[in-house]
Amino acid sequence: MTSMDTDELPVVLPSTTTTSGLTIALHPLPILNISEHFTRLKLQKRQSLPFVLGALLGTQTGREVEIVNTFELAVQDDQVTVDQEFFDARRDQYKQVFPSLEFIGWYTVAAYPTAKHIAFHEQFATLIPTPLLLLLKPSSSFAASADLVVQTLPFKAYEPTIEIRDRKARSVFIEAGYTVETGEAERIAVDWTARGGSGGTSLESHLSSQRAAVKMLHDRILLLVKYVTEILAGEAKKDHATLRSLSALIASLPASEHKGFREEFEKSTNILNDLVDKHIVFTAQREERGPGAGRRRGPRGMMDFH
Amino acid sequence: MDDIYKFDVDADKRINREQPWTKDPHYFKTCKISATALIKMVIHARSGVPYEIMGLMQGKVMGTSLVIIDSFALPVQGTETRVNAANEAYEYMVQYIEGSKLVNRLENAVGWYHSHPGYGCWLSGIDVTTQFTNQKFQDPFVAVVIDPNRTISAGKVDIGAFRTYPENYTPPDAAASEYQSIPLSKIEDFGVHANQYYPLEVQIFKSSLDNELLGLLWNKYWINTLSQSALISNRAYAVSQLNDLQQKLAKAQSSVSSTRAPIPLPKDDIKSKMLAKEEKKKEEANQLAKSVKDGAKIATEAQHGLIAQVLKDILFSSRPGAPTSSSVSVEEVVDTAMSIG
Repeated sequence: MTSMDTDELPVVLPSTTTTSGLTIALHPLPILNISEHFTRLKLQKRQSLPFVLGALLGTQTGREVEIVNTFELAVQDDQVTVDQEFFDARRDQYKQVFPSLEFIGWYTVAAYPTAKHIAFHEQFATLIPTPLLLLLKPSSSFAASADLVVQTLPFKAYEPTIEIRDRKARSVFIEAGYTVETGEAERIAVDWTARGGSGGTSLESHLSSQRAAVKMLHDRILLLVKYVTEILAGEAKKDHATLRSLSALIASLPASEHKGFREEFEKSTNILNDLVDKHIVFTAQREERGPGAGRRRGPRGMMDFH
Repeated sequence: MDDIYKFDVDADKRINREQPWTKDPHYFKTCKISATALIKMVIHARSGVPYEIMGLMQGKVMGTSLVIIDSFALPVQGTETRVNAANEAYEYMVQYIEGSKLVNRLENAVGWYHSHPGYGCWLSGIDVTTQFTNQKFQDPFVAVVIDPNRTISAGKVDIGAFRTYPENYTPPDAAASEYQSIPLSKIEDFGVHANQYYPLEVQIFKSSLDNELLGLLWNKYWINTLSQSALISNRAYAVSQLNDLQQKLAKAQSSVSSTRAPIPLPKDDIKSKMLAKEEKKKEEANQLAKSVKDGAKIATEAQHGLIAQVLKDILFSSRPGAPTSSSVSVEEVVDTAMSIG
């Protein structure tokens, strides 16, 4: 094919002029899938930057997109045409097991989108109107930083659109922001594997993940406090949007002073404490003779707990 | 660290020729599962609740370990027809595995997984039959079971990997396996077949890139850790656990009431009577002790949910300086949790 890589025009619109209106939620599974795909190809082909291509599965309602899963794609021998047969077959198979997921875009590994990606985009655009592009940036182009604020996932999402310039229309990409969302089972599995999948009592693991989360919250709060102190001392520049969100946040605390809420909360807390107390008594008494008869009333009584 | 992901075609051919597992029924000791395979299976299992779902796993043999690199879901929902489910999904399986070769997924199918929503990781009679057949015709093959309900209530993945013994093989005295609570309705199925298979040690592995990404991911989803509430998401399961416990206690109670106080005996009879009493006591203790353990587990999990709620309350609802006498302090809650577990 002609080498159209020497485009003078970049294929990504600068984010100062246009922003994507999409709200994108990215799950951990696609992130790890893409990582596995990339690692596997690097090892098999013994290249540091092999060509990786895959499809994104998820849901899209209006401007809200959720990227939930992925599968790999094959290209034909010319290296630029997607293997349509394989794509159709795989897509149907995933539809059978996850009927709620749709094909919503594609992924590859690159530092930034180029004309080559536009070519792929046009193939996918025949299937759905606006296929998202998710790029994994290879490690040489993201710097690891110790500062927790700067550390971001090496993934970038792009929304395709048409740019009209000089009475000519061309496809371009706009960078889109995303948040990470997880389902509960997914979070637990991700957490567990991050920790090496070891045992420990369930209390330990539960407490340690709670503790880690609270520590993160604490660190973030400290950062905000530092920022505000610096503003007061005249050292930092006032960012009004940030300050407004901060004051809205503080105004909404305490989260639950509303009387009705506190009553409900305390009721459920008490019921659960009851449940736990009964079990403690039961456990403590098991050595004595005839504990079964006495305790029988306990669990039955707890059937009202809901 | 990433070498485990490399598929060595020659090594694979060699070990499939030698088949060391045919000479030793206890050959495989560990089941190593990759992060992606595991997460996919857990998500699949959860999405299928309350039904049992199943799927296949692709991987290879390395030493005495069955290594699972990837997994994929099968379009069947199992209940009692597990043996036939594999036939329904046969075409799907073949197509999927063939297709995988086109995208550099070279590993063969080395196992199957299915879920036991709410009743623990073990092999039922039908599962055992299925796995017998698998090991006869598709070895090397491993059976993996996941309980998505327990995963959520315990906050960690409940998973087991198993190999069946060949028919007519009597295993040497099985080492006591970790106790797990089995619902009354399933306990017979569990007991009858428990000696026909053995568990492999499950280990998780991930690539160096996975590790990096997981660290960065944590930066994003720690919020979910605080905001999700296991109590709410797992309500129905928690109630069913209590129901089951109540039935077990009723059973234990009835056996306790049938014991009688020891009658004073002439000396020479004491020894034999003592033995009989010892036996009976052991039996009751077992049923009762098990119910106690079950109760403790339920309480612990309720405590976990409670701890999370209380933490949130303290974090987001306390006013500086105001006494927190109305809400339970986290210390108290944790102390009680520790005294149970």
